[in-house]
Amino acid sequence: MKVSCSKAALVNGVQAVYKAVSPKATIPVLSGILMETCAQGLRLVAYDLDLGIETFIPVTIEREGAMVMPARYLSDITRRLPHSEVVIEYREEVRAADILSDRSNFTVKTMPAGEYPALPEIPSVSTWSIPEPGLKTMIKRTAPAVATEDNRAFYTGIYTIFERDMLTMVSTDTFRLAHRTMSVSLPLENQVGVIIPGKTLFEVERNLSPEGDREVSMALTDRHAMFRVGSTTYITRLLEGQFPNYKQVFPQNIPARLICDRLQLLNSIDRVSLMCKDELSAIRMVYTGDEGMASGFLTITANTPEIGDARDDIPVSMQGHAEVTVAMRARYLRDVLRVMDGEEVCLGYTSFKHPIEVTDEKDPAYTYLLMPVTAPV
Amino acid sequence: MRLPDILGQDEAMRVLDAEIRSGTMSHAYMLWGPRGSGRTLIARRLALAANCSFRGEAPPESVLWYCGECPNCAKIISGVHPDFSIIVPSGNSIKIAQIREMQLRISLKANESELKTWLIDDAERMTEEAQNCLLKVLEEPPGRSLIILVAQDREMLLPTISSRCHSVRLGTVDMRTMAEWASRELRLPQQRAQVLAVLSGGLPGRLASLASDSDYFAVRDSIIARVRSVMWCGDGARALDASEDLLDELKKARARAQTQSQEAEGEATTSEALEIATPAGACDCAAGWFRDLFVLSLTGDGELVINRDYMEALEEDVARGSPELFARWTVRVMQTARALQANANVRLAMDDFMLGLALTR
Repeated sequence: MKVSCSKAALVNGVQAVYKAVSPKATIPVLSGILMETCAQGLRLVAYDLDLGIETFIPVTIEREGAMVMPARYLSDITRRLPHSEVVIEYREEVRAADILSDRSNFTVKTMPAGEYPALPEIPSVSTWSIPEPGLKTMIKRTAPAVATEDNRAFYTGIYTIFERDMLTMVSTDTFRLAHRTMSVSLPLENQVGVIIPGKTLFEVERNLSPEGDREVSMALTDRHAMFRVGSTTYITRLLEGQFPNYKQVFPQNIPARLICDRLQLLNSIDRVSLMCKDELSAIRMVYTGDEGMASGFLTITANTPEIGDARDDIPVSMQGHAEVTVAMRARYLRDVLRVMDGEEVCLGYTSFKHPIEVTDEKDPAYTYLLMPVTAPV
Repeated sequence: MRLPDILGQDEAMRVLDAEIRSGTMSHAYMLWGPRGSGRTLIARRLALAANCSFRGEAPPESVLWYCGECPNCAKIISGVHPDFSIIVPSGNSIKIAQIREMQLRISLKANESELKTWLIDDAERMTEEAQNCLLKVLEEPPGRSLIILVAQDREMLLPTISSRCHSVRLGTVDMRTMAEWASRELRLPQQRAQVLAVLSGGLPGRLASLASDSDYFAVRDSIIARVRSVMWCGDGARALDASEDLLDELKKARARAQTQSQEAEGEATTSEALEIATPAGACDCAAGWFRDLFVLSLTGDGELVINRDYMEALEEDVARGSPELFARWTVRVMQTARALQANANVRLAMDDFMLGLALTR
């Protein structure tokens, strides 16, 4: 195999698949990236048996062939190459590949392509397409509530429900819940719900552009989900398990809503939580002012006996009536404020032990709930 | 593609086979028995039989049948099946992080097969935290899963683990079957096959590794030579010299075996030479010798002897002593072995043993 290509294309290709490389796999070949020539140029594949990523980059093929190159060296070398043109030549007789660029020359030992496992096959009968910016927003807004580690692995995924006219994503780590919908048009009779690993969706999201006009094609089988963006394809195993019935946790008839500037609230929480011991410490919020479409102040405080106190006021307006006194983990509120992009944010308050509903008038399809801390703060 | 055949263990295989055929397979098995009895092989065979795409067509008289041709079989045998994962100790133990990772990965749906199969080898080497972490997933694995634990002894695991598994015990194989197998499969001369069959104590795995380990016999030869040189000398000073030389020699042999197993990049994880070249290994070897003398002097039956390749030397020794003396020596060596196990000073224990050997009459 001998190909030449631009450094930028190669670096992008390697970075696109890198997340699916498995550095400490029991099968050594999985620590590499499969490179093979094909009609679309050079095909790059990484597959850790859970997530597989495949991408194609444009190259000039001088001689066809395939090999598996150790991912770490490939990634480190390509990023540091001195020239914008690269030549990769695989010499089968010594099972090594030369990477040449300007006056730099690397020879890297490779692994046989024949040992690389094939990606799961996804029948291409029914692929659905979803606009790129829409999917990006869906994943970005539901990402904060995905559990990073849990005995119940389905909490580490995003429950995705496909209906004829609606796509819904829900995530929860049992302390908070994020829910977003989006109108789509899918050729579906019944609704289909699957739990897609968060890791995969975050990787897909990373490669989507908020202004892009591409379509993401998607396909499902009973065990896999596939996403294709441009020339890159992601195939992931689905999570087992039954997602809990989340609908019952949405508070009904919320008596009071506080509306405030999102960045002001975020900055205020950032300041106050300097006096918190760790990320999971609670902060306290108290509303003072008139009730009913009136303006007042939200006082945010933190108090850690061995460190000290902090107190911050921000102007808010209130719709409805309630005596707002509530404590919550600073991080849970901060995470969501960071992924929203409206100017104002609305906090729905029922009581000190009901979930707080965080919404954004600019994005009515989005709801985020967080459980308050009921112990005295 | 086929796995090597499994020797003996018919009972265990029949039990497992009956459960696959009747569809009453458990989701967790513990195969336990001494190392070398074929535990991992049976575990892999079970994985094959449970995953084979044509398992419905198993011939009625076969046991744990697999076709060996379908993609599931081929990939499990070559160790690249995406739904068949093996956990082995990392370093000395199986760590909690390994079990956590398993827990996460077993929650994903299977890639190709209907089952997700996990094999935990040397399960008794799981740390206590790892075992506790495994409990949840062992009791209720997500989706269709098969978890196979391979262990030395079920008592070495937490009772909460063993009670959640269907335990199947693997025993040793009888000598005749072993010897026949060794001369047929390993192409060993009959005489040697018999010696190895006895020495390996009914464990085919141990026999195979003995057959390829020439160092083991070198060490054994020198242990027996030293012990015999002291046995009849009646001279305390000579006994102490022999003790020092023997310990020296064991140390060198151990260093040699270690470098060799490092060069083999951990392929032969249980080097027999490494095991015999320890003070405890030497005691074991000497105990075997005395036992042979005892048995031979009482019965005169060569069939009962372990060190069959030393028949002449044994007969020579038997002619010089009495069963009472041999029994006394056996007790002494057992005492030394026990002392070593209890962390006695190695040099002192060995000196004591050799002195006793030279002076007990």
